[in-house]
Amino acid sequence: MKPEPFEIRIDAAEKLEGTAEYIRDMKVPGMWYGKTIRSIHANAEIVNIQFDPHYDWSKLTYVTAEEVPYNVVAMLETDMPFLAEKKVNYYGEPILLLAAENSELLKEAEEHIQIEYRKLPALFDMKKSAESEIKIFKENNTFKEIKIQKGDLNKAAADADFIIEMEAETGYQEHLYLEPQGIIAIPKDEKIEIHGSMQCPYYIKNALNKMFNEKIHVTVIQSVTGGAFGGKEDYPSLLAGHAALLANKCKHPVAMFYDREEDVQFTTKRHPSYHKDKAFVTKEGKILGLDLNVILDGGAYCTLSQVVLARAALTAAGCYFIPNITINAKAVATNTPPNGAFRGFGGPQAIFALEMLIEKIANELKMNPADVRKINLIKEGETTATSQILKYSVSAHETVDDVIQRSDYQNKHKKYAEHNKRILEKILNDEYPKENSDQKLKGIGVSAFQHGAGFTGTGENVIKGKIRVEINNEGKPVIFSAQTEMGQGEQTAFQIILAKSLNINVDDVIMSEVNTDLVPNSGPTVASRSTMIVGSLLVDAGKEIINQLTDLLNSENPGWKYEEGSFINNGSEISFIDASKKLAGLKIEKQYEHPPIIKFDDINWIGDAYPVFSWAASVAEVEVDPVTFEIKVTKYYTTHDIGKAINKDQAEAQIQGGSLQGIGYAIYEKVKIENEHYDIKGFADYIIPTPTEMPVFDVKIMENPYPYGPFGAKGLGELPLVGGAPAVLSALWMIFGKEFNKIPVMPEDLLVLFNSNQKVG
Amino acid sequence: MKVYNPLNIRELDNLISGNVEKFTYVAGSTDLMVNENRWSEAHNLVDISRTDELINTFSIDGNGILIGSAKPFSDIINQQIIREKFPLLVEACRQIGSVQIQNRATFGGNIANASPAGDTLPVLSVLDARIYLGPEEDGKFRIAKVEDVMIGPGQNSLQNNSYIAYIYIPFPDSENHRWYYRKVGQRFALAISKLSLALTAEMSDKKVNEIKICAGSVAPQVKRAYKTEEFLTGKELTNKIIDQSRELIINEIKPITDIRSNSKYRSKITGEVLREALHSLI
Repeated sequence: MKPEPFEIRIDAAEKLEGTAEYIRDMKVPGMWYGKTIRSIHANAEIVNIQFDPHYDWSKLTYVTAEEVPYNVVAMLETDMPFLAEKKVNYYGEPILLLAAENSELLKEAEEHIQIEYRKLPALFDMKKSAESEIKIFKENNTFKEIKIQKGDLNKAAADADFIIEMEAETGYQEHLYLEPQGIIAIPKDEKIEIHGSMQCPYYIKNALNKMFNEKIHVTVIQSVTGGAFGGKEDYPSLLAGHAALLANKCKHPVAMFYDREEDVQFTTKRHPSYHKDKAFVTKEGKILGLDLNVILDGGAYCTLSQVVLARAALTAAGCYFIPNITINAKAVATNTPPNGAFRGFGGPQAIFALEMLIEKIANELKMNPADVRKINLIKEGETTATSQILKYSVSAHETVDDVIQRSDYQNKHKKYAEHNKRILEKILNDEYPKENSDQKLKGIGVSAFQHGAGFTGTGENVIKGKIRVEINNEGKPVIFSAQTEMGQGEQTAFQIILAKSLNINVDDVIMSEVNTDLVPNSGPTVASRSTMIVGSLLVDAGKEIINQLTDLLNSENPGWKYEEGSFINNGSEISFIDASKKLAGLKIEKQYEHPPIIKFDDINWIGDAYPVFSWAASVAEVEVDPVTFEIKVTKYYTTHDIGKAINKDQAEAQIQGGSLQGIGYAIYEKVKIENEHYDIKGFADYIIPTPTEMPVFDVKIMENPYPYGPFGAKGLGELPLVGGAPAVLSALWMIFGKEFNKIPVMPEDLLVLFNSNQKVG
Repeated sequence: MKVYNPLNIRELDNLISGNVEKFTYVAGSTDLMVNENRWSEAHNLVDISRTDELINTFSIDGNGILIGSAKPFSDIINQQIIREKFPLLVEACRQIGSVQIQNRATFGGNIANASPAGDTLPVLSVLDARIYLGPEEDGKFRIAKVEDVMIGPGQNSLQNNSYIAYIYIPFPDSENHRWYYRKVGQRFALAISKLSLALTAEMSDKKVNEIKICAGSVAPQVKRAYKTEEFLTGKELTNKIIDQSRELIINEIKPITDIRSNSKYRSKITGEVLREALHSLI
């Protein structure tokens, strides 16, 4: 596919040529390097910290917890300190900071610090957290609890032919962005300047303002950012705080650069989850009621767990109309590094558990898994678990029907089952299973999924994102927003949206640097909200520019109209750029508020949880080697309704990349806690799919417009990841006819499945 | 840190003769450079990637082929003669890391690094490769087998700055020569193996005249499965014999549980892969 010139990303050239300046490329005279001294226990009291009195500390700066003006990283709760003071709650928790001219000195100095601990028993099991004697967060280790209820489960139970129960679990996932975390803090007179790899400059500004008790002006400037996936939403606030504390004390610019090992060992991961669910089903496969219980492991501090939990709870009923439903969700604390934002944000866990429950219903009712889904999919006019009436842009049926048909799912399902029969029999009889060396077990699986675009509930009305468009001296519009480019194509999308609104060339739209002294707070770059929410402000700004220009021209000489990029009046024509020079210096600000029809009660969890949902369905074809149980996804079909693709190539790339990340979540990526800490160190032991593991993708974009989005666009960024794991596991259900309820699934797990099979057989 | 660049074997031998300091030899550096802890401990680095004989030797005689220890895998597997005579070697080398790694990594490094997961070790073992160890004594290189050099995880038998100069691989001597190779990793590219199996055999129809079997990543040392070989030699490969051989090889290995896999999987699947290998012969 050849991209149209219109759609080439503005950051493509500098990234291809290697001229893009990432934070580690920044040259700052007199810069020192910072280092974090971390806890070596998961739960311990700090008894004493001893700095060797015979060591020459004059060449270094160190910062202790007592020196932090306000020792809380401002997020949702006030539980997480920049530096642990008397107590550590996870292995690797920062205790002290050092800075010096070079890393050799830092290494040497570290040897002259003795930290004495009193080690305590630690809590690692999320299921035991709420009742544990070990207290990490308040009385019951619970960061948040959410109850959602609609209808009456007793009625569902009375009418159901079957009650089907299932437990499910999902594991950690590491972001493994290409560029590890990095921040430089530069002290300047009465202010401090933060540069770095980040998603949310205003989160950092807010956290540092509070840390310094508003006594120092904080400027945050985003560097070129090499990937984030949510991993640079919350963590950089902590890291920037560390850099700023050191810089403020030693009066040198200070760089905090994590290497890969430090990054994967101590920064946030996706929340592991545990689910205990019950479905009330008729013999035709209609779900009358769901009783869903979710626990998320938040780690030692809350960070964003409360909102991750909200999304998990609000996504728990998936793409289905469920007349009677109860959802109990809680996020709890354990003595592990805090978990944080990760593309999908609670959605992948929720959808996985639900889709596996659907598989179990199909299995027990001996129905086709796609048919069970189709019977229960939600339609326009029906209500979600929060009683939100879906009024527009609903494509649950359309996406599932499309992907089932395009992939020839039903035929392949039959054909592959037949193909596998003999091979499975041979494995069970301990015979050599292959008739030829390429022979594999073949599976086909399906998933239906959705993602609510924008912040959960009333979030957008709280943050009230703001953008500004200015007309410069050349008559070109300049966009000032806090949205960050991290590889996802946000800058290009914004240029396209404003250019289309104004009917001018994309190249004539200019993007301002993301610098908190220049750009208003348009909200964080998260929650698949930038294009849909902030993009809609750009359309509004575009309209206002045209109106103001038309008024201006008409005030001189009435009769002007704007058509196809030019103002026209009785045969005269002025291009947009020429006309807008008259408005040079104009500043237009737009602030977001939900359309008034969107209402949510976030105490009782009733109403419009999201302004709109993006819908998708996937079919994965999977091969399993009958000798080694190696798993490979060979083909991946997916249909995504995203309202409108602002940049078609980029949208397709997002869908492929996100799907692959979902496949990685299912069958490649594994992290465990061992000896109180993560068992991975980097690329060699955290296995993500490479191009060799990438299936052949067949992507279709559907455009069912959202009336309040820019040109109808809805959120896309997170959606594709959500459906990967359930589609792959659905294929494993198909092959083995056994319960799959845990990810990741490794060949080692399939072997165990077979050993237990043999006993049964 | 000191770095030496001997341009030929004479310079290399002069450098080490009588020198009591410990030298670390590097060719492609694909293992050393990514491990800061290891190279920061290497005080005397000898870069043999420009040592004439070690990088350029590729000579064929009637019985086999002599390859310089510092010659990158890509250079070797792109040679016509290697593709004709040693498809097993080509298959194994192609599954090492990535093309970029194959462009730098070498036999010498793979052997000296002594990882139980070293991809070429089982292959060199079943091909009966001989390792030429320098410096020459009385005008002769010491000659050893892979399992004499790789003696444990990260441990080689190279003492007193001795180095790997050449690898000699004899041509298989029969028209009935058969081979099998399989590497099992968590993914297909850029993977450290969970287990691997290399096998060569001389067959008369279904009868095994001679067989060599070596599994990787399933024991501290990469060693041939002599008992399994012995059991199979002279036998017709029936389903029963093949199934029995699985148990034998499982008894010859000592797999561990680590981050890549567990001992149960390694043990059971080594047996299954051997069964696949033997079925591929008939």
